[in-house]
Amino acid sequence: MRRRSTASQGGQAVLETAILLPILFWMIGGFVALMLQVQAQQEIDTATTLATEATFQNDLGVGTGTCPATAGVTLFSSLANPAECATFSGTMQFYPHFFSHVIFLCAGNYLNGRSGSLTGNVTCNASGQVLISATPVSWAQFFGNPTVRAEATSQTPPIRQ
Amino acid sequence: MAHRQIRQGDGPRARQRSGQAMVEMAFVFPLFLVVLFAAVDTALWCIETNAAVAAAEAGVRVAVASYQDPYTLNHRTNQPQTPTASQVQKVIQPLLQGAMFGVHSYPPQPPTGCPSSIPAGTIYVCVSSNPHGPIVGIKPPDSGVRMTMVTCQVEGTVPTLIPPIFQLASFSEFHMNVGATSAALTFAP
Repeated sequence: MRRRSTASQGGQAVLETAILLPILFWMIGGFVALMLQVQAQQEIDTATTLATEATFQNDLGVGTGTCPATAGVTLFSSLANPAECATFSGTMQFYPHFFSHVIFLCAGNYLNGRSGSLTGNVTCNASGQVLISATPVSWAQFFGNPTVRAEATSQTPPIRQ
Repeated sequence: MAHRQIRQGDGPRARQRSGQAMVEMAFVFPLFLVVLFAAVDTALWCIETNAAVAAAEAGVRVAVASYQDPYTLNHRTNQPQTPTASQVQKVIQPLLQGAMFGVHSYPPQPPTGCPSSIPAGTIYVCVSSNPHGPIVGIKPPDSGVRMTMVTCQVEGTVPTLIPPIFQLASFSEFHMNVGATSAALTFAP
């Protein structure tokens, strides 16, 4: 009777460990995946902010074309002028193959069609899927690749007004 | 785990239980430490990389502000001005120093750009400009003028905080390479 009780206690410990260990590792993996998402959010925020400010570095207006393909950065959809495109892609190319389905759109009231008003706000929006599935912690992500979004607004500086 | 003191007369079963607790402890404690260090190091990596991205963003703004494109020559030397890494580094080094744990060296940018091999605890701030950006001049006399893209790169090797006894070769340090790019001012207003 006593021997059966000891054996049952040992079995219980093994069972508890078998249940808890995967949960523990899943929590660690989830924590790392969350940190990667925070990092991706920071990167897309930076790229969007700089791209919005770059609008005023030339006089081509806002969102006047689509961005060309850049090494390491594939834009799924875009509407931006060359300065916005080059700044956004140039910053994002430090994190190649980390994002997919990147959408980058700029709109506002700065030299629209080169005949619009010079003054006004320019807003750029970007979104992209963070490819957690391509990292070693993909097993901890149960809900697919998260999407991060960024928005930045800048006003025409006095030098351009 | 049982933490009952073994008294005289408790018998072999109590000693056996105590031994079992020690074996359990010997298995669980290293695992606990690995998990703890992994969590702390992941959080540190996130903080340090975020600080580096923010510093690169601030750095590229400084570089762009100090840059004049080849069509706006320096009046004294009649040469195009280029952003200097030392100007940028002066501004962003305090941002990095506040967040980079274990980094002790911020050497100036070598003339050839960021080196390929960087010793642990060292971070370089590199600034470069590419005059072959997209064409932005569409009206004479600026037709065909290309935009200059300025890049600020923060690259280095940051040590982790994992004690040597738990260090696996690849976890003792991590390579950081972040950057930001922006267009330089192309036309005078």
